[in-house]
This record gives sequence, structure tokens and C-alpha cells, in this order.
Amino acid sequence: MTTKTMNRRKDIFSRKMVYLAVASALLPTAALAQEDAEAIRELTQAASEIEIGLGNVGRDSFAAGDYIGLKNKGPYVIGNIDLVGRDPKSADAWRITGSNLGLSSRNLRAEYGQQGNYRLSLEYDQLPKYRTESAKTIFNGAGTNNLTLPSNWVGATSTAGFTQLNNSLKSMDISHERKNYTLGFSKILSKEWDASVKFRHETKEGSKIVGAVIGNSGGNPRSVLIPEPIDYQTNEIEAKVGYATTKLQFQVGYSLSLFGNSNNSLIWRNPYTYTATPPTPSGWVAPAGFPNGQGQLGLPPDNQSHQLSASLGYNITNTTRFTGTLALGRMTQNQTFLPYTINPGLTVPTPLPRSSLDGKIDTTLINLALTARPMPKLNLRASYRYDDRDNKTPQAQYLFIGGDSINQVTTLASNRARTNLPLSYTQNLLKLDGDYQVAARTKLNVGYDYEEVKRSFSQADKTTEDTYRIGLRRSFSEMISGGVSYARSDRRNKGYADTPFNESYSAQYIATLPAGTRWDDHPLLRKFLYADRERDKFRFSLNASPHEMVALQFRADYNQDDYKNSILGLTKTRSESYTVDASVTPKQNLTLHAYYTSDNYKSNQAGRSFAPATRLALSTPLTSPNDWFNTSDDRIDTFGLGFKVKELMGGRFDLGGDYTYSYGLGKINTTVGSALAAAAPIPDLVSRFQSLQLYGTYKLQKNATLKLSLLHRKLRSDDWGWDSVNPNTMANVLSTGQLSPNYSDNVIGVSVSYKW
Amino acid sequence: MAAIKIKSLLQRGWLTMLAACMLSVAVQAAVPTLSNAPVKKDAVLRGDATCTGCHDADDEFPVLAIGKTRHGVTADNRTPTCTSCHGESDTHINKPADAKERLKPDRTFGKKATTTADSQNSACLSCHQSGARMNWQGSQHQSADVPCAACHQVHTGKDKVRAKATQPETCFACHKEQRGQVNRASSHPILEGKVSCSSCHNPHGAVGPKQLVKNTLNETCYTCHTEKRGPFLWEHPPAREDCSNCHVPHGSIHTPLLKARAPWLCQECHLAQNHPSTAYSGTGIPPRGAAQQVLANGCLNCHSQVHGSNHPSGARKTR
Repeated sequence: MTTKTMNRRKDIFSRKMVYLAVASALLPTAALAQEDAEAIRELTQAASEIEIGLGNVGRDSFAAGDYIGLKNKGPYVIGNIDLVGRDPKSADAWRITGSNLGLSSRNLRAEYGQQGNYRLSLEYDQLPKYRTESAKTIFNGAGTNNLTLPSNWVGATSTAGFTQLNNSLKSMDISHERKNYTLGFSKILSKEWDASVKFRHETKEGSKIVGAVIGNSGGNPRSVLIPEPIDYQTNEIEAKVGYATTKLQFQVGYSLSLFGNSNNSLIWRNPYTYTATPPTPSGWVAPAGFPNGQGQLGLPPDNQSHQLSASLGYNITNTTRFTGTLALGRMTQNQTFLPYTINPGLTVPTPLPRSSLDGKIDTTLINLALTARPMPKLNLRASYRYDDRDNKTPQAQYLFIGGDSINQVTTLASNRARTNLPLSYTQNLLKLDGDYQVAARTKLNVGYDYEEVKRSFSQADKTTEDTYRIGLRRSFSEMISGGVSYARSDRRNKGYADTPFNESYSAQYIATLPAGTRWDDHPLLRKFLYADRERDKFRFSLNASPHEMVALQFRADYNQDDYKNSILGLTKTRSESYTVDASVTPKQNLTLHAYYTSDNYKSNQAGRSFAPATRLALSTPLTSPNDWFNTSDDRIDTFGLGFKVKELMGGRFDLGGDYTYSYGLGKINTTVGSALAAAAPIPDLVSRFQSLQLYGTYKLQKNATLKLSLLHRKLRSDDWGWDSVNPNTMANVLSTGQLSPNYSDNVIGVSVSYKW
Repeated sequence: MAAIKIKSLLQRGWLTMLAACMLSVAVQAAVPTLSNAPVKKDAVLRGDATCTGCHDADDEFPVLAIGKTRHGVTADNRTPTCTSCHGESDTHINKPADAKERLKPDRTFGKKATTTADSQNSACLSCHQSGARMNWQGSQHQSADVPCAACHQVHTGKDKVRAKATQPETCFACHKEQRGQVNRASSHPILEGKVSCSSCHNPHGAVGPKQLVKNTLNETCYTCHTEKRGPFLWEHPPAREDCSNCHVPHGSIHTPLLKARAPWLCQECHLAQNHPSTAYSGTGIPPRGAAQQVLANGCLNCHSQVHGSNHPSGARKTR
């Protein structure tokens, strides 16, 4: 115990003695008892609180209002409630809480129950997502599943020819909103048994931007960015029964999730014109073009997920515990297929092989773990995990039509004949860990993992990974503690081949390709999720309290993935994060804190540019003048500063403030080999976010508090992907003209909260 | 509040106190003596008078707010007493004659407590070992000797780690990297208080990777993003296997929560002839050019169905 603490305790004890003496002398015994009882009641019983007020948003901005609902300029209602009722003599209780009640991010929850017996809860939650207000479209019917062109639209083979473009562009708000309704009931059945059931209904409504293309090969796509309607419903039920003693605990449960989409497709009229004369858009057939041509996108299909689970925990001895989990699940999807094409003018001689997918993935999860402390200083942990996703979706061959633009190619010797690949996955993971207290306040940890992953229809049927870990944690003293750890992983694939190509494309088509070119992606490419990889992870932390009023922290994280056998593809990534934190409490009622985090993520990748004519020649050399290299370098600096002062002005006034600054810089650079056209620099991606919040509370009277909040937020972003891109900047993609988010916004709020 | 009353009384000064003491002697002649006074009542829990006699609201360790919590509902016969968690603490209650200062209770809680994390947690686990806490033993937080009380405040009406809006403050005390990430341009609504760390993670230990609430990463993501669950006719392998192949969970400068920017993100795996293998650079960006694979949504301007397509003509994820 520090000297200061001892003094404070002495002080408190002496105050109490004085209080007792004074109080017992001055106050009649009955009055004292009554006041005591009142004071005890206030200190021991939850109070209800209601906050109501008015806020004002300085300007309209989707980005500023994202998630929280402060989108529109003007006043809004501040409303927060926490109403409680509890009979101190029984365990009956109810509670109603609400937050952001005046905003579209509101939450309202009601709960009623008898503690130790049952509980019933009901919750409503709203979450807005505001994407952009600056997008434009030429289509009528935005927000629906059928987009039509203006009556005076004049088609063209590329965006440059759209003479009615400027006259036709209309603003559209791209946003969506989730509404969640949750009903829960739990019941204690006996001393050992309990059960619960939860039902959740969610709606998600609004729109998002989606790329919609008409075309069938890399040379003739004609795309438009269009609003995709979102009208989803999710219903979930989760039921559990549990048993618990100090020795044994288990739980069995069932969860059901049903997803429904009110729209199964999105249809749009093709604004691009067919012309029989090459070069653009060669390969189409006339009915695909303006004015009668249409495109149809499949929207997320209805699906279901079921899962039965059982988990068990058993304390074999006081120092040894076993836990096990078994979960059996099934995901299904069987929505009626859309036709190969929406355009009735296209010929489709070969019908669909099936009317729906009958998609089915059976999942099995087994997790077994044993923890033990065979000696006071030694802790051991072992676990085994089996994660199997058995995709039982039937396979069939589909003679697909490229982007609603051509007649169906019926010969199987075509790259339009494709078989679906139901991807299965099996993971076996063994983890072993041990901690040993090597000295006072010092723990050494060593660990080993072995992971094996098997996949079907994959470039790598099997990958294995060994991981070795070592770490040391030490509390040097009450004032200084820290830790350091290092992990090294080595992943290897057991052979890499273009299996998806061989399994999905028809044998007849593959036979048409010259020997040495029977592949899709370049044979030297190693997709990073299957590639050989050496991974290093390093962590360091240091906490110091040089003075009882000062706390300092330092964290360093360093991760590196080296795909050293990858000639093409991702070759290396590195992420670093360094943080310094400081908090100071110079006075009992004053706290200051500050932090700075520096993050950096770098990745290197290699590619090789090739065409049908160079396909064979460029397939084997380890280096080529057609090679290109790309580096991505994201740097993010985050700085925060804050303070809190309590009990100013005779204990009535509390004040606080927080400032956050986040600066993100994305540098991307491409360099090319001598055979390729010269590369040009890529502008930086920049985002600067600042937020300054000041808040104060003033106690008007015993139970009433005045609250004031000032919030200034500013975002400046530069994104070359959108900022200098007009709807017709790209020849073959009609874009939305939307801008990256930029705003500067002030929000002020005044409210009164009342407690009783 | 009792604390305010005490302060105001103290502020009256020594003179008042002296007078009060003298008066006290007189008054006590007419009322029962201290030794005859009724034993102080329990404030909240059975037998807590022993503790609350000292640990009232003005104490360094105020405890009375336990009454505002579920731990303070004595009508529930499972409710513990002070000693259920802190131990009998005889030497704390009755200071040994040879002790210079009062000894601490048998079991104290918190990050800086002298009681070991295992011993602290055993008190909590004696009741809370089932359900979502079944896998506490062997979990990352248990292995790192994190006591429950490092995150949870028991003697308060509102435990801030259990409220969505305030929970990240607790988690970010250690998880500094994630604090920086959630401030990036693209993130989940964590700072807005609509998604909390525990919406995705179970800090008490879980079967899934990274202590996720569901058994796999994708199952966790599907709890909110059910439309991406499929199964689809044309699967996109990295999406079917693990969402984090392309996305990061906490924050990114590449919307929406992407690891990198298209087209290069896509080209990490797609290197087929013609445009998938083409080198893209500033030549495709205004004023130098306008490449449809680079601007706006990049590859997704045409191949928009990156989470999988169920359209019979969607083999190339364009339908």
C-alpha cells in the first residue's frame, strides 16, 4: 500500500469517527436512521434515468451521418432512457433502455423477469448505412428490380456517344438500413438446468451500386454502374439447454437462420447499341443492343442454415479440465434458376441442366481441448480441431451465355461449357502449448501447432503448416511489466495444379488447346491462400508506471509473410504497428491521456502480361520482359488526445474532451518489364479524419443534470478511383460520377437528464 | 448522497466538532450507549455489515453499488455474499496485533491485485463456468493471466464492458492496433456503438479462430451478412473458404474493408490471358487514361458477383 493510500485511508477512518460523533450528537436517532436508510437506498438500488434534449447538425452529409444517423442538416431529438424497476424483497425486475431515440441509429430494449427464474426480453435496433449522395444514374426505377431508360435515350457503342447523357442523369441516394427485432426468453429450470430461446427478425432495405455488364469476352463488355435494390429479411431462432455443476457443464443447442430476398434479379435496359460492324462491340448479336436488349443480374438467393451443437466442459481434477464441442450444420440454397439470358431474341437451344441448384453444404466441427496444471508452475494445453465443410451440391454442365449478349454456343468444345465446382474443405488442427513460471513474476510460453487443410477442386489439394511459438512475460515490478513473443510458421502445399480449370472447363474444350497451354491462370502463379508461405510474427509490449499518477504503454506488432516460392502472385506482405500510450492523473479529479499509433502494411506482387499469341512462350521462363511488379504501401497514423475533469464548481461540473486524428496514405506503384508499355505513377489515396468532441455536465440539482456536447468532425479524402471519373470518363463503363467522401460538420447537443 | 453529507459536515470546522463531541457526551447519557446500540444491519448482501461498516461510498473501495447489480439480488438464492468472492478474510477484518497495517482480504480483484489471476477467476468461475464461458480454460485471455476484473467492474451499476457504446474502451486498453484500425475510413460501426468487439469475439474463450463467437470465421460474418452465405452455383473459392482472404475486419483505407485495392487485389489470384494479366498503372487514371479495370469499382465494374453467383450464366461472376 502506498503512503498516499495509507494516508487517505487514515483520513477516511478519522472522518468516519468524526461523522459518527457529530451525527450521533446532532441528529435525533430516528432521523439519523431515516437519512441513513435513504442514503443506503440511493447507493444500493439502481436508479432510473431519462435524458431529453435537442441537437443540431451543421450540414447535410451521408458520410458524416453514416451508421449514427446524423445525416441531415438541422435539429434532432436527443433521447436516452434507462428505466428500472425492482422489488428489493423479491427478484422481480424490469428494465427499459433506449439510446439515440431521436436518430435512425436508435435502440430500444425492454426486459422483464425474476432473477434466478426467468427473463423475457424484447429489443429493437436500427442501423443506417449511408454510402453516397453524389451518385447519378440515367435509369428510371432506381431502387426497384427493373431499370428502364429515359424515353428519349439515344444509344451508342460507347459512353462518348451518349448524347442524352447529361439530360438524363438523375441523383440517387445510395444507402440502406437494418432493422432488428429480437425476442428472447430464458428460464432457470432447476439448480443445474437452464434453457433459453431467442428469435431475431432483421430487415435490410435500401440500395447499393453494382456493376452490370453486357458482353461475352474481354474485348466487348459494355457496363453500367446501377442501383441494386436491397430488400432482405433474415429470421433466426437459437435455442439452448444447459446443465452446470462445478464439475460438469454441458449445453446443447439448435440454431436456424433463414435468409430471404424480395428480389431474385435485377433487370436493366442496355443503353449501348449493337453495330454489326466491328470493332465495337464485336461478338454481340443484334437483340442484345439498344433499344430492346436487356441484362439480368442474379441477386443473392434465399438460403437456409441449420446447426445442432453440443458442448461439454468437465473438470477432471481441480487442475485438469476437458472441453469438447460438436456442431453439425447444413447450409442449403435451392432458389429457382434464372434463365441463361433475359433477352428473348437470343437463341438458347440447350436448356438448363437443372431448374435449381439444390445446394447443400454439411458442416462438422469437432473441438477437443485439455488443460492441465500438473505442477504449480506449469500449465499445459492441448487442443484438436476438425472443421469439415462437405459440399454436396450436385454438379452439372452449363452452357452459359456471356452477359446476355450472344446466342448460346451449343458445342461442348467451347469455353462456354462449364461445370460448377462444389468446394469442400477439411481442416485438422492440433495445438500444444505450455507455460512455465521460470522465475518470480516471469512466465515462459512455448507452443506448437500443426495444421492440415484439404480442399476439393482447388489448386492445392492439401496444405500443411507447422507453427512454433515462444514468448516471455514478466512483471519486473509493480511498476514495470512487459512481454515479448515470436511465432514462426511454415506452410507447404503438396503439389499445385490448375485443377479448377481441368474440372470446370469441358474436356472437349481443353482438347482444342495446344499442348502446354491447357491452363487458365499462368502456371507460375501461386494463389496466396495455397502458396508456400513462411510467416513471422513478433510482439513486444511494455507497461510502465514510473509514478502512481502516470501510466505508459508501448506495443509493437510485426508480421511478415514470405511467399518465397511464388514467382507470380503475391510474393511478400509485411505489417507493422507501433503504439505509444500515456495517461496521467495529476489530480484525483483530472485525467489526461494521449496515444499515437503508426501502422504500415506493405505487399509485393508480381504478374506477367500475356495474350493468346504469347501464351505458350511466356508460360515457363522464370523471368520475362513481360513481367510487372506492384507494391502497395498503406501508412496510417492515428493520434488521440483526451482529458476529463470531474467535480469542478463545487462538485457540480464535469468536463471532458477527445481529439482524434487519423491520416491514411495509400501508395501504389507499378513497374513493368521492357516488353510492356511504360507504366505511369499512381496518385496517392489519402484520407484525413479529425474529430474533436467536448462534453460537459452540470448538476442543476440533486437529480437533474444539464449536458452539453460539441462535436466537430472533418474528413478529407482523395480517391482517384472516383474523384476524377465522370459518368462517361470510361469508354465502356457508364459510371455514377460519385465522389469520395469529404465533409466538415459540427454537431451541438443540449440535454437534461433526470434521475430518480 | 452520504459522501456529500459527510463533506459538508467536515467543512464546519474543528470548533463545531469540539462542540459536537461535548454535546454527544450529554446526549448519550439519554440514549443507549454504543455498546448497547443495535448491531448494524446488512446493506445489501447477507452478512455484509462486517464489510460495509468500513467500505461505504466514501471509502477507497466502495462496494455498496453491488446492490444495483444482479449480484445484489438476495431474493435470488444463488446470489453470493462478500466472502463468497473475497474469502473469509479474518486477518483483514481483525488486524493481527503484530501487523503494522491492515492486511488485505483473502482474495482481491483487478489487474494490479496481489491475488493471482487464476485465484481471482476461480471465484467467478465457481458460478460462471458454463455457456459462453465454458472454454475459458486454455483461452488466450486465460493463458495471458487476464483476470475477469481486468475488464469487468462488479461493484458498479453499469459495467462498461457490457455496454456496446463503452465496451471498446476496455478492449482498446490492450488491443491498441485495433483502436487505430477502427478510426480508418472504412470500418464496422464500432465507434458509433452499434457493433461491439463482443459482437464478433467471445473474450471468454471460443472454439473458433481469434475467439470468434461462431465456430468459423465465415459463420461469424454470416450472422450479419446472411446474403453471402449461399451455397452458390458458381462459388468464389477465397470467399467460400474465408472472408478474410480479401477483407479485414477492423478497418481499412480501401472501402469496403478490403486488404488492398482492385485490380491488384484480384490479380493476386487472377492472372489469365489478356486483361486479367495486364499491368495496370497510372496510365489508366485520368488525365493519362481511363481504364475500366482500374477506375470506380475496378474489376467489379463487370465481375460484380465476387461472393458467388447463382445465375446459370454467372461462371465469370458477371451475372
